Amino acid sequence: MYRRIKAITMIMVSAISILSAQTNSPSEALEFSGSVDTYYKYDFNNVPNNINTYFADEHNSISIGMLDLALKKNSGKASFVGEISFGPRGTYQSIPNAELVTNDNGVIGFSSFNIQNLYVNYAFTEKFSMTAGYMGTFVGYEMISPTANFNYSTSYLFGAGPFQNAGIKATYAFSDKVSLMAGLFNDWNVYHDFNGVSHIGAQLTINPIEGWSAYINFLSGKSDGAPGTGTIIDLTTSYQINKVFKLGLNAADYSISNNNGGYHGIAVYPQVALTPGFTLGARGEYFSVKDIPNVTGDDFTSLTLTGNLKSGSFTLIPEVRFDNSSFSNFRNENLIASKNAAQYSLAAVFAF
Amino acid sequence: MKIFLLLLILIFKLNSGFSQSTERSLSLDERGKYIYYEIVDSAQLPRDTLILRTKTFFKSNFNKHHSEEKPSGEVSFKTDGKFQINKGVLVLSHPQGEINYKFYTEFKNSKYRFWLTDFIYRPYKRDRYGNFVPDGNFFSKLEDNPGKLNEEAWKNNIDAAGEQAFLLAESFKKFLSKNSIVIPPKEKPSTIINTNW
Repeated sequence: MYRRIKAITMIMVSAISILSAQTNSPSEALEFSGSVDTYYKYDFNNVPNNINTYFADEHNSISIGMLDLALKKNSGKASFVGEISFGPRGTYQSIPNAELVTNDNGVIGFSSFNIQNLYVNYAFTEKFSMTAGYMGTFVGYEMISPTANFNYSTSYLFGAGPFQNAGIKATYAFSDKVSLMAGLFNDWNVYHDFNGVSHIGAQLTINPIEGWSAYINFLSGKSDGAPGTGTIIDLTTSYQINKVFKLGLNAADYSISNNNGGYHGIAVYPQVALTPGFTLGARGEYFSVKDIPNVTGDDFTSLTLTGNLKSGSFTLIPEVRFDNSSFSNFRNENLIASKNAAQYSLAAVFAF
Repeated sequence: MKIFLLLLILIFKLNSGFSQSTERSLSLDERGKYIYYEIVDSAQLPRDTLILRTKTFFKSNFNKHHSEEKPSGEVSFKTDGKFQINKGVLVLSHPQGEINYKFYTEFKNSKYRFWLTDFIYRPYKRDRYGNFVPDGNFFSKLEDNPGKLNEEAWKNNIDAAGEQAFLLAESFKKFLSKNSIVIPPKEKPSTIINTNW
């Protein structure tokens, strides 16, 4: 027993010495990060799933978002990122069919975790790199991870667009201000593509001045079982105008060929830092579902007011949201169809 | 007893590994700005050698620098640099932000002085691909008030800047005081089968 304790202690001392020495080279060190989030939401009409956007959808319940764990490692010109998530936000609420669980009797359920990122990158030069694997989508303003968004609930544009794209892409930086990505991708949000590598995509990145970034995104292809070829054109931009004020914008148009509908919309994201630890922001959105034969598409408008109270790694996010639909898509307190709905939520996010 | 000693070493290792910054903290100058400042007596080395080595050090460690020689013979160097600040310990860490700074060096008679100041913190955020990148053009001077809620995190940034400035200072002084290193030419590897046998 004594020898065992002594051996373990010596191994720990040696390990700490080695690890301390290794951390002197941060660029090559293994990076570990992640987040945890939980929330409470109350629909003012006391109706579950009334505003049916992604995440923060469970009514009058202290609910969980997701546990997110990410690893990154650089080794010379090569690097990899592996990011995995557990919990509703990272699994069935965002990518319900990423990977079905099957046995000899067929499908028995969904996996209890999902890959958020799993890719390998190789920088051939300082300007040219290639990436292959399963990546967070390059389309849109908002993301699955709650640490990457200012608002806790998400926009209609986010919910309608892709979340992840598996594929291979090449990126060339013409200068510090302009770069271009082009690639071949699978269907949206799936680990493997059943109808072959079916999509092409591109992203033009422009950084006109310090603090202003703009991305023009294009993704087109025919998904497995889809009635036509879907094409999305998206503009995502944000500008930190000064230390206090930031303005973001997302606009997108998605069309499915052969008159099979799609959507278009625009969202603006003004944010004001009132104190070093508290920022107040809004999201105003217009979203329209395109008509298909015999069906008229619905229009939505939404206003979300969000606060971010930060203390180190911890962020408290109070939020109130008001939505309107042209076709009475919501329910009032008597469960009668209504054009309006509103909700309040309070989320706690911890990033590490 | 031996176990107790080993545990003490373990605790010491943990402390020395994670808490060195308290010994290497920055000072405030007359402008109220954080500064790392040192004067070094360099009587043992010729002044021209020191200046040449400083030029080499700046060229190899920074993108560009500015040098100036006054009529009085004083020579000064100035450059901009940045430290990356990590969050967490050992392998459980990731980039948290960067601290930009200005690095000044002056040579006078048989001594030189250098200082790092004008520290500016730029936070990183994790992008959609899992990489940590600068969060827009948001930045804060190290002297700025972070507010009560972020006081501890801000203190860690100041400590990290002090630690990194200390390491840079050590590296700079060592480079200037080192003996010239002669790199021997590479020997051509001998082949097993050749014409000289």
